[in-house]
Amino acid sequence: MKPPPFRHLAPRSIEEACDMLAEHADSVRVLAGGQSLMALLVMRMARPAVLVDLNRCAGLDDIAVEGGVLRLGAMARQIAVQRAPAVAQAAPLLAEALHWAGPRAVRNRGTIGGSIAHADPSSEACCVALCLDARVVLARRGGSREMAARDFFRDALVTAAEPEEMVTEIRIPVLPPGTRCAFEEVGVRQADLAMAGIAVALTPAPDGGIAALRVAAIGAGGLPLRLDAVEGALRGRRAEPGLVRDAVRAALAECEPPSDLVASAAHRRAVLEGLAERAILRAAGAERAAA
Amino acid sequence: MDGPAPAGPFGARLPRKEDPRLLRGEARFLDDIEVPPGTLHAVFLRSPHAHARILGIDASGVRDIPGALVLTAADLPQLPPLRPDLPLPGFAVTERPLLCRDLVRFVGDCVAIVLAEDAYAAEDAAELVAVDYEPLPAIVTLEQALAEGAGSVHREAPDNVLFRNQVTTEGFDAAFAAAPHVFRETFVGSRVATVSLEPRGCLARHDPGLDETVLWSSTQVPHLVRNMLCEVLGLADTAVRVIAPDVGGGFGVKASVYPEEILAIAAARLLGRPVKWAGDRQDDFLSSSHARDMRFGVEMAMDADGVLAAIRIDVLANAGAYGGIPFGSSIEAGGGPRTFPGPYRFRHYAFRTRAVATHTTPSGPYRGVAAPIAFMAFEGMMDRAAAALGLTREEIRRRNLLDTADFPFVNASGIRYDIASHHRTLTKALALSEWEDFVLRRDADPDKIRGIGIACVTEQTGQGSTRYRARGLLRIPGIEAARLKMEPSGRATLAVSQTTQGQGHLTTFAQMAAEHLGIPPAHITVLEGDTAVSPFGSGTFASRSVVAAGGAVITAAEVIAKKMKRIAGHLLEADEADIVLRDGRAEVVGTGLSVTIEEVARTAYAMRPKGVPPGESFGLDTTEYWDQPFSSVSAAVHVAEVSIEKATGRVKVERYSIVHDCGRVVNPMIVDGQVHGAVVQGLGPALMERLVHDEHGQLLTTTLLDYTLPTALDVPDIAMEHIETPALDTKGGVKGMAEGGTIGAIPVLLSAINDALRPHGAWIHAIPVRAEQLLRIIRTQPGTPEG
Ligand SMILES: Cc1cc2nc3c(=O)[nH]c(=O)nc-3n(C[C@H](O)[C@H](O)[C@H](O)COP(=O)(O)OP(=O)(O)OC[C@H]3O[C@@H](n4cnc5c(N)ncnc54)[C@H](O)[C@@H]3O)c2cc1C
Repeated sequence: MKPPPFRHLAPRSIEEACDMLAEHADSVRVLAGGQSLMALLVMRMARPAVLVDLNRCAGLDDIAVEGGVLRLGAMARQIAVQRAPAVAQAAPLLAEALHWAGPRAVRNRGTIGGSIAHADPSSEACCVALCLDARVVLARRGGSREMAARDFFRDALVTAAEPEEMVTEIRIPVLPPGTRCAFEEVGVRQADLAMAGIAVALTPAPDGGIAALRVAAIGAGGLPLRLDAVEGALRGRRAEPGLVRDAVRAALAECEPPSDLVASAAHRRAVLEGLAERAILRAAGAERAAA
Repeated sequence: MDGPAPAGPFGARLPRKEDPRLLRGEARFLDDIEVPPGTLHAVFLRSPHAHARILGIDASGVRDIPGALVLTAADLPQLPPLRPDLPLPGFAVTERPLLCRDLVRFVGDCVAIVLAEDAYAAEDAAELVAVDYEPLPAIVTLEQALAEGAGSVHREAPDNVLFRNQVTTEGFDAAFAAAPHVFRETFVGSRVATVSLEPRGCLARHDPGLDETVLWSSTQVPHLVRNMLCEVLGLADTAVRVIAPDVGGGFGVKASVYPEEILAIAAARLLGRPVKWAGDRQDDFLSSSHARDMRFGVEMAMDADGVLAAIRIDVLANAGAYGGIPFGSSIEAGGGPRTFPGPYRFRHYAFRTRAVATHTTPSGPYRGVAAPIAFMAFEGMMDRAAAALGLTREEIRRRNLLDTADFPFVNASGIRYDIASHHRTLTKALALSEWEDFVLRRDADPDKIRGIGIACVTEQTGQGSTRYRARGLLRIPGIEAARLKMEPSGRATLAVSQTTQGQGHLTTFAQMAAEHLGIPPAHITVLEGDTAVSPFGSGTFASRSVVAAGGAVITAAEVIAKKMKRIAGHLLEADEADIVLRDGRAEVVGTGLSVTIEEVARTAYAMRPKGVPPGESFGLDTTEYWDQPFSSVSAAVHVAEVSIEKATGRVKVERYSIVHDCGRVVNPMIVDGQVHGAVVQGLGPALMERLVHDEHGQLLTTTLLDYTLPTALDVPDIAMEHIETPALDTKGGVKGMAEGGTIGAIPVLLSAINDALRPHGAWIHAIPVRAEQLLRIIRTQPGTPEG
């Protein structure tokens, strides 16, 4: 469990980093918090010739709300995101979810950009990014582009980022007033990688019904997924237990959860049903369903 | 704790002497030892196949790595294979090559040693060694190994049975046939890894000028490692020194001697350079012994009142590809039926047991060995019998537990119990756990179902030479020794034939000796883990320390104390019989006359005007050996309360209580810590830990991501009380105790889960109990409303 040889480059600016990425694009990786990349290196599952280490790179860790958008610098540590007042105000769902994102020591080092760029199937950050219609900003030498999280995530551990690109920022639209969030997850252990998880943002209508609903799931597919069918079925309705249960069940029946050592597809689906129902009812402020 | 706090050091809740160093990061584990100049760093090239023929090894590629070199079996032709089992009845004598030449038998079998200037380069070089394998069909499971036409792992064991034993007590058949009730079930353990925080590793150095060979190894058994180095490499024991530095956990996995230790020395001697190997987590999962891939078929015959009439069991243990050293292939298969009878009174017993070879990592001892699965089976049957006979679970146990009048008792597998307090322990445990009030808690949360479980367990500890002879394990002496040397200052060093991996020996042994010497434990420095310093002995395993080594420590302390009294009597012109040693002084009882212990010690070393008594030798220095004649059997009752979340099937351990009797307790804080840790090592296998192979014998769980160990958040607070029934068969009234927590935790958690499932009409008989299985039961078997 020792990494193969690599060159370590430590740019001071985004421009410098982009130059390095362009120059070594045939075999390069960005090093952020290292909480996933180091494990890949020591198990020799990733063998980049060059690491571009962003830890000394300026201008990448701001957390701020501007023009109705929460902007998270890619190198903002997960713990900082979790605790930032701007996040509590604009996207409390993210703070609630990051609480689950591994042990404290890992969140102290791990970055929000790293979590998004890594696109792990169990990532809370990716699930929330999907749920809240986040956008991912990618920089490269001489330019940058921005895309919806939905388009950014391609497959487990695969994203739309090109080798010469780096994530510089995650942008999350500030939640509409009155929106209520809930995040639920389950692993084998009390604190564990998520085997199944649900993120919900629910905006109530003045009449007590659901004006808008966004639901994303971990464990429903190879990647975190938006459960569009649930959203459609419940929009404009009241969050009543039976209705929610049916909507959730119908949506999950269309999903293909993975089967692995942690759980079978059937178990993931069964657990997600319970979690989704619980999370939606919690966000709706409704009474818990009778057992 | 019963009774008042103890006055002397024995029984005191002393903080561990070893902790400040460990907590400050000042300990020196194997990887912290500064390596001598010129050290080569080793990687063991391991087979990626469970079973394959080696057609060729091409190491020419490593030329690209400066300084790297590769040793294969061809480079070490004089190395004989290991022979783990001895030619005794019941054993098949098989061989384990140190480096595989023609055939590999598990994923992880060593094929070559790759050496380089640092560990990084060694891994780079290892990737460049091309081994040409012809994969062969692998035998992975017990069923496969025992199936007709399965093929065999070893030629010498065509039916794959490495060890077998069968015993039927006299009158068994009649007793079994006469019983009105027979309950049957098969219980299945989970294959687990020990996962000591520090993986195995060693540093080998040979000094040709001094003809001295030194091995630093993360081991529990330095003397046994030395013995094997001598046996295999033909070295003189006077020229070999084995040192266990600080060891980051052992739990049995480091009580075996492994090929890497022998190969490191062989390579260091061949190349004339020190060789270091620091195993990593993957090495550990693949090559450190696995454990408890076992099943117990039980047939329990009872009379109409729920009193045990006769029990027959059929035990299988997956021994993996090879027997280990020194425990051979019989460790689990032999241990299962031996520990099974537990705290219960029954005489008619029949068992058959087999250790079965497969193409998987060798099995070996792990905290409790087979006992956690044995008690999962026994206690599981007691719960089933109680339900079938309409008795409460505590009542059926009361009707069968050994009582004061039964002792001394020799159980159906021939183990002697000197004294125990099973009934009191049970009563206390029921009170501590608020067992009677559980009905009020059962339905407290509508989102969960709850259950409560009970397990009455025993733990066989402190085995001596006769036990190991009887088990055919001739490489284990079974004796222990202590050298106690009081220096002129009145302080003492106590070199013990063992080594410590967290058990607190440096504190416990000092307390045991201090009681006799009249000096504070802080004035006794315990030395362990170095064959050049420690007297000869067996090592630290099987909860033997406090009994087997403790016997030697107490004996040595008694010898020195006697001599101190003779000298003090001489100095004080009093009868030695009237002298007591306490509070740093030797005093004549009832007179106020005394001298300091230092004065006595200086006298012993001819440093005072007055000499030693006529005919007395100089010095205060003795080495005493101890052979524990009978095992000592500790006991405990565990009660656990679990909840199962209806939406997810997740189990939470809500409450946990233990009442425990291990004789006199030397240091309650250390005993509590040992029980806590042991419970966690039972909770993991019961609820989440499992090693998984695919059908080709590929281990799929080789990281701590896949092999889920419990974290602190999964562990409940543990309420614990001790009953101290002084042992009669040991020095000091002590019994060993470090494995009982694991032995109790697995059965009690299964019992609690089965209790929760009672309304659903399901009985689980295999571990780990997974949320998936529970959710399925809860959803598909809605069960009876009255619960
Ligand atoms: C014990 C443990 C528990 C964990 N538990 C969880 C958990 O419960 N949930 C969870 O989501 N994660 C968990 N993780 C993973 C952890 O959260 C990682 O921090 C996260 O996945 C990656 O963030 P990082 O900053 O450490 O990135 P790194 O490890 O440095 O990089 C990860 C990947 O992303 C790429 N990358 C990083 N930053 C950028 C960027 N700015 N632009 C382009 N590419 C980039 C890297 O090249 C690499 O491929 C756990 C990790 C550990 C060690």
